[in-house]
This record gives sequence, C-alpha cells and structure tokens, in this order.
Amino acid sequence: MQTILLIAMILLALAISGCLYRVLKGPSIADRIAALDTIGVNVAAEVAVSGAYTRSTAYFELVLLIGILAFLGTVALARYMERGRVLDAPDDPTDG
Amino acid sequence: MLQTIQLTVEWLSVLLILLGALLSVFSAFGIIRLPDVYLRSHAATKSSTLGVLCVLTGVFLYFASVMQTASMNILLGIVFFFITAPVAGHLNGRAAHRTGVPLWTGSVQDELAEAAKAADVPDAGTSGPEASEAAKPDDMPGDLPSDRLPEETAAGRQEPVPEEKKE
Repeated sequence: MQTILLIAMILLALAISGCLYRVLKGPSIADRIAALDTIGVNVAAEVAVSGAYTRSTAYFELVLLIGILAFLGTVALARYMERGRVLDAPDDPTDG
Repeated sequence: MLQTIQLTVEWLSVLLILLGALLSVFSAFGIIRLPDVYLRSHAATKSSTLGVLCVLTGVFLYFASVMQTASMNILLGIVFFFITAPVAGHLNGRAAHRTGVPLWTGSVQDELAEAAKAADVPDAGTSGPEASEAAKPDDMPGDLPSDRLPEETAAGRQEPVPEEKKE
C-alpha cells in the first residue's frame, strides 16, 4: 500500500514537470497562467498524498492554503492580462 | 469483520489516490500536446480537477480508515477545489480571448467573437492600456487567416511530428 502511494506521488511529480514544461515554453501568457494553476492544484494533491504516505496530518492545512494561493494568483494574473490592472477603482465604467 | 471493512476501505482509498494521480498525468499530457490555449484549458481544468478531487477523497478515506480521524481540512479542500478550478479556467480563457490570443487553425467556430460582435461589445481588450496595444481590432481571433499564427505557436504544434518520424 505504501508502494502504491509512492507510485502516486511519482506520477503527480511527473504531472508537475509536464506543466512546468508548458510554463517555460509558453507561447502566450494565458498558457503559462493555465499551467501554473494546474501546478498549484497538483502540488496540493502531492502534499495530501505525502501526508498519507507519512501518516501524519501535520501538513493538511497546506492543502487548503496552496489551493487558495493558486486560485488567487490565477485570478490576479488573468485580470492583469485582461485589463492591465488587478483591482478596479470603485466607480470604474469599464468594469465588466 | 471490522478488520475486513477497514482493509477494504483502505485499498479503495489507495486505488482512488492512484486513479487521481493518473488523471493528473493525463491532464499534464493534454497541456503539453494540445495545440492552443483554449484546448489546453480544457485539459487543465476538467481532468486535473477530477484528479485532485479523487486524490483528496482517497486521502480522506485513508485517514478515516487507518487513523480513525476525519480531517476537516481535506473536506474543505475538496469543496474549495470543486468550486474554484472551473472559475479560474473560465477567467483565464476569457482573458485570453479578449487579449487576442489566436485560435488553433483547425478551430471551426468562435461563438464568443460572434456574440461580442452581435452585442457590439469590444472583444479584443479595449479597456486596459496594455491590452489595446497588444490586440488591434483586426487582430480578432475570429478573423485570423489560417497562415497568420505566431511562429512560436506553429513551431510548438509541429515540433513533435519530426521527432516521431525519426523514431
């Protein structure tokens, strides 16, 4: 059973490296953002599996934390790419 | 009897974790191989979300059966990933379309460009200073001739073919 968990961790690491290739290669910024989001999700899964592998719940807060950080980072980057800024002024007519 | 149930749940959870990891690998494969942003976000949001949900459910069951502890963090994580991953994919795809990232030459339909034209909404990013520089009105993805893809995109799409031919 530990062996299967180890195999799952190796597979997740493979997935992260695959996304890393897309982050480095591009070609557009949106590609990099999507790949970075997937990397964040996969890292959270990797942390959860490593918690199961070592049988400790110590890192489970990290799963939620990494998920929130990845989501906020994706939203901020996508908004910056779309509008040239992240936060809007309160009475901005261009805000969709 | 209780031992048997515990062992069954343990094996089930481990297999779920393995299935989720396999799904993540498939989504990474799609991210590498698919030709443009919109097809890639198809792989990046759907299968990787299902993969991480499988992994987290498996870990939750594993701890429930092995350690007899129900981890609320993992449950919250499942709900959170289920809600946010499609939202992030949608935002990214919309931003890509509005800033004029070109579609794959094999794409047959661009409903967002048609809808934006019908509703007379500026589509290729007229709001931000950087966006309007990056995408001129005639750079709309829907109007893009098939031979006008940026060189990098075309190279990235055609690169795997010669490698396969060599082998």
